[in-house]
Amino acid sequence: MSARTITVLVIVALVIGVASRILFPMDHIAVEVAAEELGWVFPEGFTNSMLVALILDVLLIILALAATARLTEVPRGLQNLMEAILEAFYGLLRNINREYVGRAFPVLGTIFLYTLISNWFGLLPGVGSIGICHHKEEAVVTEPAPAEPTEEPGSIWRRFRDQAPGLDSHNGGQAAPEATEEHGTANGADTHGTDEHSAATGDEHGDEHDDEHATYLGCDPGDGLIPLFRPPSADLNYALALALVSMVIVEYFGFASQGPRYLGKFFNLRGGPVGFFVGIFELISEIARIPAFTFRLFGNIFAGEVLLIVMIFLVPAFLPLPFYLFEVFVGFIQAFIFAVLTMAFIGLAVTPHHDDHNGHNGHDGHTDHAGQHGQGEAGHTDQTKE
Amino acid sequence: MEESGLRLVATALAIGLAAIGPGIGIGIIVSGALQAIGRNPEAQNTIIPNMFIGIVFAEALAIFGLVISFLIGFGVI
Repeated sequence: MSARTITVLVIVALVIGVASRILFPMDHIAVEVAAEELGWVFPEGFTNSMLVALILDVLLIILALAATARLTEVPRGLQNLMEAILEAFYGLLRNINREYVGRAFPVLGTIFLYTLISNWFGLLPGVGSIGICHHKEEAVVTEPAPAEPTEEPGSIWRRFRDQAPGLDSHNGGQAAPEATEEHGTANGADTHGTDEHSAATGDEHGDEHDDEHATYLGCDPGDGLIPLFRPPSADLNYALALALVSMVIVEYFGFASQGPRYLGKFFNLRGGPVGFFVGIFELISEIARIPAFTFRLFGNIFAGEVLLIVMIFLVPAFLPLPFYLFEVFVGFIQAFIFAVLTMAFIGLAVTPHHDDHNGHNGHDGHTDHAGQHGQGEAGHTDQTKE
Repeated sequence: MEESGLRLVATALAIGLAAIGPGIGIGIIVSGALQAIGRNPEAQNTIIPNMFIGIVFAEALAIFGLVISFLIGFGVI
């Protein structure tokens, strides 16, 4: 491909992009921070991210069964692919902590694989755009919106469903069938800010100004769209659950390797008052990892979704492509980091706490157990054999 | 000062200010990693995963600001 061909292609893409924005403008976008409850045939409180979580569960189990159905010494096909992936990941974890990688790998591998496909799931076409039209209290199922002007795959594109908060007084306190609240958009709604203050009837969507945009979704005027699928990592509940699981695993390894003395790291009665406070700070920082894990995963994936929505809103054709690539990369990195950080914290947790931190090499657990720390933990010099 | 206007300002400020520190921090981290790779290209496979771990810690702070910005902007808080 000569430089001239590439230049021509780029210019054509830009022209098509700008034209698509002029010809097929979107008026406003709406995203929800909380996962929406599906009303249709699903039980009460069942959100779209739960549905996808179950789907991914089944998918992973089928994948595992298929890859290990006929194990051969020389792997071929799916077994080969899965072995390659897991071996690469195992190698990376082994660089972090050589001792405990064997024991911790089942959990960490699961965290990695599940979070990876959960992050990438949000990029598939249809996720976020296929959904259920929701008209006040009835839920009417609709086909996927057929005549979307933008052919962009995965256009997460909904109607504005509720007034922006703070603009009107009767937004809160809705006794809605869906427990989650829907909130206005961060951009694109400002032009309609003044004429939306009509009564938010009962539960939701009292927005008359959307009548002319009803054709975009295939829903009846005044309806909103509840997406059928939402990646679980974009749901705060899943991220929190995963963070709690990681911390439980870390504490388990801490107790398994050191016994009750593990608590001596946090409630340090030997170092005097200063040592005591250091221990309390360690405890606080240990607990603070849970919101850190949660918000890291949730923030990255949800912000990625919002970024894609905004990019598609701005220029529907071709411009979102680099951002899609970026989101693929971010999805992989976040899944990888979750598992790697858990491994690093396991390495920290199994290192015995001692008062002098000279030989303490951070999370490299296998270098400094060799008998340097026989200080008082007489029976615990052999963490390797647990 | 209406609440809607303040909300917009808060949304923008939350993420805008939160991105300054981690931006500088990530620059420092990657700079250190690149220098280390330059000195010792064979140690690349050790340096790069550790660089990503450092980046993730720094980026998490920006993400905290982004989450607060979302919570304010979408009216959750």
